[in-house]
Amino acid sequence: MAIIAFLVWILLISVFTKLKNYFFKFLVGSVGLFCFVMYLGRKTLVASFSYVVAYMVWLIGHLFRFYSVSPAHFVITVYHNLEAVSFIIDYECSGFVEVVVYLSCLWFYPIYFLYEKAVYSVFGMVCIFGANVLRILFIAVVVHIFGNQLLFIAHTVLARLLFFVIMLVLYYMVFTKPHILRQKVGSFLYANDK
Amino acid sequence: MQMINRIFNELIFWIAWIVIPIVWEIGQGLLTAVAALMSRNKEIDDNEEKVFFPYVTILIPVYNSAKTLKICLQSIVSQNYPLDKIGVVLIDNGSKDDSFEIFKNFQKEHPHISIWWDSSRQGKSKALNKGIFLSTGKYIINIDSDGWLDKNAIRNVVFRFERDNTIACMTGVVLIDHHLIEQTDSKLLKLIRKCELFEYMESFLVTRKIQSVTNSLYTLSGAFSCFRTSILLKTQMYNNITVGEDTHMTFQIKDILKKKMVLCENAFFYAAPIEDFNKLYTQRQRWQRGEIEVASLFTGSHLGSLRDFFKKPAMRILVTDHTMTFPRFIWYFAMIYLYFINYPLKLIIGANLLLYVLYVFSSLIFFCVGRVFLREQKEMREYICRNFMICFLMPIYRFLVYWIRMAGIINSIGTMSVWKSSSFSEEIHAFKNEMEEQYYSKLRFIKTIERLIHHK
Repeated sequence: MAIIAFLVWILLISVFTKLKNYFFKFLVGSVGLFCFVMYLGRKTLVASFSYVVAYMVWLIGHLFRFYSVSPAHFVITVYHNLEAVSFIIDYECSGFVEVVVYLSCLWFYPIYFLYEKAVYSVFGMVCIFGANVLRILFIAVVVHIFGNQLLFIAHTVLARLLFFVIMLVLYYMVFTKPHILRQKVGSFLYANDK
Repeated sequence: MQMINRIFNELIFWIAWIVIPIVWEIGQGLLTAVAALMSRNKEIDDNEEKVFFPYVTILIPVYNSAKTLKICLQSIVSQNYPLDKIGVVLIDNGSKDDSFEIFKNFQKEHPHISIWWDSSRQGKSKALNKGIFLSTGKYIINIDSDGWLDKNAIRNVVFRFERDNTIACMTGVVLIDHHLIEQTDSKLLKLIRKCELFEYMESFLVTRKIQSVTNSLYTLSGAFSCFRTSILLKTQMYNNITVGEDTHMTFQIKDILKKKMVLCENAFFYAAPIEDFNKLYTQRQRWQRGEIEVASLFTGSHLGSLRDFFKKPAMRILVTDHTMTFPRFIWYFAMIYLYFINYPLKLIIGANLLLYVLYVFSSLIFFCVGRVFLREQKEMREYICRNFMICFLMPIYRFLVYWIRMAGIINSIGTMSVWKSSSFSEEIHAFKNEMEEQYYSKLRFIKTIERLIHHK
């Protein structure tokens, strides 16, 4: 079934490429790529992504020592006075969905050459990982200073907002700004022009 | 209780991606609505009698407008403004229908009004530029030929100019002619047209209103814009290399000449509704492309650092219209992902319903603001009140427009700049043809071979 879907996807992309229908190529291409990566990597990659994030948080933890991390179990324990608050790095904090969406959009965004897509893929992944680490560190700092009672607000609202702002800057840098700078203006054609 | 908690927690995660953009959109909308209402009393107090009526030139680019031109011209004759102080210049840019006959007959019927016909090369901007050089009025008013002016429109515009010397140009309020909406046969098209009317109402009476108050108007509507002739002659004229010539003119006046521009919220123009879905598809893509092209020509106003985001209104509009469309993908993609991780269907439907309700709420707020500003337009006000249920359909309409504008973003990268890009039907037709020619015929050929082999 997956193979048939893959073949149909390739077929549709080739048809839209031939027709120079850029939007439908982008739409079908990015949605398809997203689905395939999700289907193939949802079990293994989520865990790997969570591990990388947990490991990075663990590395940074050596500098501060107000929390401890068990990268193998994706658990972070933050200390506040005599309390210890633990939370798990789940699929949300792994940034897996965000990375796949970003790459899916990027690889079918028609403004870039192949090598640029490769460079921006690495750049974007670093940014998303960095944003996730920052988000977790932010929650850890808030819990360390204010205790358990602010965990919910820090996690649910503030950390997400921080992550969203970083993502918005990333999307602006990768999708909007280059488009505006590279937009071709001119050679205007009306219906009767030949 | 545990279930409710779980649903709540999960909802928060999944809707985070969409709630933030929505809070951005709705938050902006609500602030705008409140600010628009608060500024209302300051702006509308223009009932004092004037004795001086300056000469005004009305420019109307004509392109295959035979069906609508007479109504448009009739609305000028019916203006509550001395007709000897109005000059009308029609600039044809390549019509192939009976527009000229309509003009000739109208001129015979109304010899008391100055009305000229001239021709230019194809292109609205070229027509407008020619018209500007033919203008003799103190003010120039550009209107489209597919609509009509409210009887007080010119009077209100001129009075506003005369009252405030610092205003260089204005955009009037453009709404959709509800008589034409009611004449629509197809029920679906009628609904789309009603949604279009509500969208225009939001766009002019809420969004542009607040932009006007903060002197940050993004586009002087091409369908009804008004200028001091002296200012217009200082510009580089209408740009004919972009499809967003009206936005380009706005930026010339705002960014180069540093002049003030406002919305004249008591001057109304009623445009013809969208012809069909295909027209909506091409029109909205063209608008999106125009915005990107103008941003590209005025990068200083549109691009910048994170700090500039708060300083430059044009950058905020660009981020909303371009950057934010991509994170919204996350939500639509995430719905597919939900399926893979066996999410309860109730949760997905619940989250979407919540979003829908939020959008309806915002539409209802805009409706209320629009209703206040339409106090003088009694017929239109009654019409929108009768149809306030359209607010409940606006999220669907916005969703549709979102995808069309997304298509505009992507297509603007690879395709040539054209006034009329491929319509949705044409794209579907091309796709079907391609599949038929390249693949289906081959498939049929293989099947024929197979049949022959089996037959043997």
